Amino acid sequence: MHPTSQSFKDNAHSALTNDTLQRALRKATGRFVNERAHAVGERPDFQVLREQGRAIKADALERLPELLEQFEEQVVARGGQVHWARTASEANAIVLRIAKAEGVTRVVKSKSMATEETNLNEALEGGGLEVVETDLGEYILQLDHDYPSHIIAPAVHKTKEQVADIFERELHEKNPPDAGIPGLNAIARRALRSKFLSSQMGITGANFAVAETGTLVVVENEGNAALTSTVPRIHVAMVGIEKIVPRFDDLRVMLKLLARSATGQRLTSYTNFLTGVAKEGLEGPRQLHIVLLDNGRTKIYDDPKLAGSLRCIRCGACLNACPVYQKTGGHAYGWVYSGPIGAVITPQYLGVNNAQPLPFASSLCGACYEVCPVKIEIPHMLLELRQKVIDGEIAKQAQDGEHAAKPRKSLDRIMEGLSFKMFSMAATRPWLWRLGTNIARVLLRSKASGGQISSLPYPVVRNWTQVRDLPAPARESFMSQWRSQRGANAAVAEQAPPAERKVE
Amino acid sequence: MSSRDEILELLRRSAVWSPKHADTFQMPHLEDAARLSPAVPRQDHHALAERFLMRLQSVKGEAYRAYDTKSVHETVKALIASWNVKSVAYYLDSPVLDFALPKLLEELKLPTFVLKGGPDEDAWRAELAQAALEQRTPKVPWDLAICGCAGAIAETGTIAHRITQGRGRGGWLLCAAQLVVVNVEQIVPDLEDLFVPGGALDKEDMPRAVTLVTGPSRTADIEQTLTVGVHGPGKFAGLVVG
Repeated sequence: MHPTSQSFKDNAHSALTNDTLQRALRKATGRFVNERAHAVGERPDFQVLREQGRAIKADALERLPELLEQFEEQVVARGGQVHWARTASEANAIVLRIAKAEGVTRVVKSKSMATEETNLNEALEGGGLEVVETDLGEYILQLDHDYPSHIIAPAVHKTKEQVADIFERELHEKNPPDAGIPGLNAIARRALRSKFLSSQMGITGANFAVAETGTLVVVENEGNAALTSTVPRIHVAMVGIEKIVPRFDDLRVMLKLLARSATGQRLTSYTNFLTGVAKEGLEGPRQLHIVLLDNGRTKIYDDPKLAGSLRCIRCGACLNACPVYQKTGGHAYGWVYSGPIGAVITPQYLGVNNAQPLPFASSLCGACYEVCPVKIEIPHMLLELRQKVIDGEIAKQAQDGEHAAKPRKSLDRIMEGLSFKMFSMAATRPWLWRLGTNIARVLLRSKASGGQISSLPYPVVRNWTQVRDLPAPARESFMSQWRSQRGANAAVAEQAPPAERKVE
Repeated sequence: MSSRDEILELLRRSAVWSPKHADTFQMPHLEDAARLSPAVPRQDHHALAERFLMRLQSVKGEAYRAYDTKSVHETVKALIASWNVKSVAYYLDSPVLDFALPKLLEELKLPTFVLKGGPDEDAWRAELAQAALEQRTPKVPWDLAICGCAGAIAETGTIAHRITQGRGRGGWLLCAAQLVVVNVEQIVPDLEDLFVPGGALDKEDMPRAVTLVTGPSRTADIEQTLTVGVHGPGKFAGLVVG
């Protein structure tokens, strides 16, 4: 997909005015948040598990080169092949080459963010192959030439009526009037069954790749990943290099974290542990190819402040918890990864200049960190990325020959800096604070209408009120009300008899 | 330089991730986690069975308990009737044989198919594919697959399925309904208990595929509305015996 992250504000504006999308987002994120809270609440050890998850992924990153070599050794020992790809196009070329060499004409795929990242479908179709997404959400999007808006619920922005129209248009199957969503599922099941059974190659991603045993772990709910990795004679898995965990036993922790954080399930319907190729006489693919994908990960790995983002296990919990994502949805972020983690990793994959607004697409409330199963310090990373944008990263990259983004308006930057200096001065001088808040109250109240402030002409706050209404400040400050109230109480106490005062 | 060498070189060159405690790293506080876990004690088979069945029901699975061959047969007969099953496939797994289920199916005069989990089944797969393409009923249909399991988890209502000689996944994955017969002694308290030597997830003995199955195939991809049976079995039952 062509990234549109630079247009975040426009994308977000479109999303905010789309009532259907707003309803879908409210329902989806509300459900995910509630179900996660319930599943997490069942385990008094969840914070211990989070700490373990963080430590396991940190350990994996510390030893990543040796663990990748160990993983390769284990896969090869079990009859598989490992391919390494520096770039998206190299990864796609590897898969296409395998397909061509093996006479593959049809490929089934289960959901994989790594293949979204490399645009694998487009590359394979360009090579003359039929590629069929089998995750229901991904299948709907493929038929409609759309792209995912949520890591784990890719078609969250589609209504059942839209899906029915897509199926009727593309599959020539009309959903009976009373069949509803189960009827739509049944249409997809029928259409995809023959694809599973007649494909020569199945492509999956992986949630974890275990260095110790060469095992891939793929979690899912539909059974499509199990079929994709069982029925076709060739299994290809595209796996980001950061998916490595050192030990098989680490899965005891990671699996407890993943499903609870992602969908609020204790375990997903199917958790597949795939190790090597099928032995003679047993069911399963005769070839296993694992493509280890870099595509910018080595660059992230080398950034001392942002490398921790490679701990991400793509659960999507931070998306659901984020007040910005809850309103804008995933498409606003303009690339494969959305929400808080998308705002962190997209600028790193695409270059800060090509995703400049994303680090600012956050209220820094910290909800993302609170729910992250591996404790990624997303708010700190967003601040770091903001710093990169502000402190001349743009100019530096322009010198390096990359596309320079338009610098922010200089007046706004000056005023922003000045505002913080003034705030600092006032916050450390009570008399100045009182004076300042009194002046601000008078100014703000003069712009209020019906108890609301709809627009302010002043610099810095002007942008805020373009899209928000603020409640007008109270006529009297809290301190002033407190003093008046205390004075009144003291007067009452003065008038009361001495014994009563004593009791008080 | 190959891409492999280039990636490894770039990672090694990074100063960010010096292996500070690689040699001494131990899985932190696993015992603490186990102690805090709400799981049922492993010795209490009755409580484990109860927890397993309760958890299975909570994920839209059907849960049954039986204590001898007679009650197993009654349960299977009732299930076949309520699911309107017309034909059955089964694996030659020990609980299936121990409780004489092939004999029961013969008595019920239902068409049956023995699943072996190997390339022998390619023929029926081809037929299934052709039938799906032609939008007709397959010639070798079955709408219920019965199998045993390699272990079960009480805390999550999960069964573990290992691909080994005679046991595949296709036979039940492609089916509309699945019945798993679980010996009560196979139920362990929580996920980590399957990782022990000899367990379903023994790292020294991993087959091509082990699948943990927790209820029926499900999706909520359309309007966040949960529906079952999108690819795998839409009906799933666990029958704990013993």
